[in-house]
Amino acid sequence: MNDRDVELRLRGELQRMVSDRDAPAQLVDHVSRLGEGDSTASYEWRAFSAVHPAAMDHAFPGGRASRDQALFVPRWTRYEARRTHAGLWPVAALAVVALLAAAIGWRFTHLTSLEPTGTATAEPSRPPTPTPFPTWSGAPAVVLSGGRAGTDFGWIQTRSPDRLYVTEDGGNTWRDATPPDLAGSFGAGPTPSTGAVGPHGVTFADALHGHFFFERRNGQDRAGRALYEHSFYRTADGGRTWTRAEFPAAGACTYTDDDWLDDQNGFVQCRAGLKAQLWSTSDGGAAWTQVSSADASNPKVTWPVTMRFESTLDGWGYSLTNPPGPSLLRTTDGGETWTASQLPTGEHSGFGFAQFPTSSGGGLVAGGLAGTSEADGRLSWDFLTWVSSDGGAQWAAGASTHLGIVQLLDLGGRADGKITLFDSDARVVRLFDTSTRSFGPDIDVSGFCARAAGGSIVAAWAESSQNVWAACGYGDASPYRSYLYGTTDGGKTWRPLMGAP
Amino acid sequence: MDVPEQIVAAPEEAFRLLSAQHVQAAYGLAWALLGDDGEAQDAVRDAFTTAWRQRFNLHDPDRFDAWFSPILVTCCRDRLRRRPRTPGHFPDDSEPAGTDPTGEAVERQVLHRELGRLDPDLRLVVILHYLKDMPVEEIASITGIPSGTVRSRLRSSIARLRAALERVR
Repeated sequence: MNDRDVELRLRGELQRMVSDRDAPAQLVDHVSRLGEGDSTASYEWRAFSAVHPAAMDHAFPGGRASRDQALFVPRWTRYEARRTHAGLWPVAALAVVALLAAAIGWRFTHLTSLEPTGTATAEPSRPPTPTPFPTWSGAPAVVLSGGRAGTDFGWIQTRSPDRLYVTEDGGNTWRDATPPDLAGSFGAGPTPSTGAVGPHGVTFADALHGHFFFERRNGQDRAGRALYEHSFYRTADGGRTWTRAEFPAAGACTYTDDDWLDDQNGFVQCRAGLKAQLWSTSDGGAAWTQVSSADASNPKVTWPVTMRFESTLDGWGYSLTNPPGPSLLRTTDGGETWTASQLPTGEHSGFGFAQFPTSSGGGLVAGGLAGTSEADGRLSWDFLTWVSSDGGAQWAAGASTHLGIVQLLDLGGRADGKITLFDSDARVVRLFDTSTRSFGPDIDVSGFCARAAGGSIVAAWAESSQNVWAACGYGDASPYRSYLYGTTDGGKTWRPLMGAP
Repeated sequence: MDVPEQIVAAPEEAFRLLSAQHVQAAYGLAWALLGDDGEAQDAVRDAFTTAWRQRFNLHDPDRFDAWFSPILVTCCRDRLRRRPRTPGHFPDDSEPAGTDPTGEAVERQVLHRELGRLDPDLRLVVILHYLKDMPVEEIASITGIPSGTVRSRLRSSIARLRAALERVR
């Protein structure tokens, strides 16, 4: 017997011993509930939201699933890095208040000393844009999220004050559409004084019809897990009045995703730790029925991260982990059960968003973004398509398009097969056409979102390559302000829509 | 007209999901290092709690295991340090030798016994190297033990196990 023999025996025996030993159920449960009832996590989210509104949207999923597309993978580490900063902010602010004040003072001075024509733009090759440079006097302070339903109608969720605003004239004027009973607690993120966790899925299908879910903390159970109560709000007059119904998923279940077939038929899923529940309504949210539940941590369980229904019975979903790797899920029983088909994603390690299957050429075509890590940590992106000729049981790789490296490729919004992406570092918004798998021209935002002043684009929504709204945030921690600008000429000129003077 | 939307699993949920996927392997490693169900459970619980607090430092979910292992090893080593340094703390759950006329069961019993008799510092590098397939340099990195010392401990441990196995052949 030589050392190699011993090593082989040792390796085999260790593997056998460990594989025979199941982790205790209470340990698995503990891990699946990490952070629940942890107030620090709540404060981290609050601070995080103030740092990066777009990230807030990803943290608290919002919006209705588009009819043909859905984001299906959490590219969360990029935001986690930002959260590191954000999560430390409250402590840092107390500990080094003098230093912070000095820094803020410098920033005030620095900003107000800039020329209002955008001469501080960091990209000298781009022409300055004749829009006023933002100052700190604008209100509200933070654009958290928003969306558009047509050229003229849009909505913005803000913090400081915590409000929902809508516009019916392309952003010229804004109307406070916050439900009266939620005034003061509407902002996304936990509000300890009221117990409010905030709205989820704020969406308007058109200028009249909108809805959202609202969660509020309701104590905790004996194990210290946070408990919640949920309400469902809907409007049929553009947010002038709202009706409220109780969403019965009580307990620790928190909203994760919803999808609507029409104004009456919808689905929503929530999760308590990794225990997921799917609910449906057929009367516009007045009453809800639990369709199914699942333990999403069980490798044998198939459950969608996000879903899109074609009828009350048929729907698609995306999963990242069950089975391992990105998979397309299919349900034919209204979400009670899901069948997974693995998606060929090659060697990609990063993930983007996907287009749910659509009929094309006698088969089905789905698509999504997938990234490959570069040596410097950035992701190089490809748009992949997958095709199925057997109704979605099996998928093969279709055509792909290489997109290249984008420092902060992010999802701004999407409409009619066009996806708004923005590159925070390059200060450009790009419209991606999923049907042609091609980018439109870069839309320059550097005129009102200057790198030199610490500006960073945090959200964007495009109706077309000409008609775009973009929000720019200033300040890494506190004070943080964001401003909404709009263009109707593809970025040649921008005008302030909200938050800027 | 489709409306803009943004849907993605929450980062915290994604972290829980990653953690849940690794809890079995983590428990196995902790059990192998500590040789005790209760202590392994406590160590894993401590490790995931610590990981949760440090989750902002995880920049690549695909490397969760590499990121988490040092946290878990630290928690296990803390428990080992608090223990009286008595040998033999490793359970033997191999089959009785009488049921295996080829002698394989005997060898497995010997391995169990000798693993239990290994000094915790030796067992640590053995487990990390032969169970986790961790390279010497990585073991050195997460334990703070010089790589030369890691190699010598591995050689020493293998020699000891080999001697024990040869005695029963």
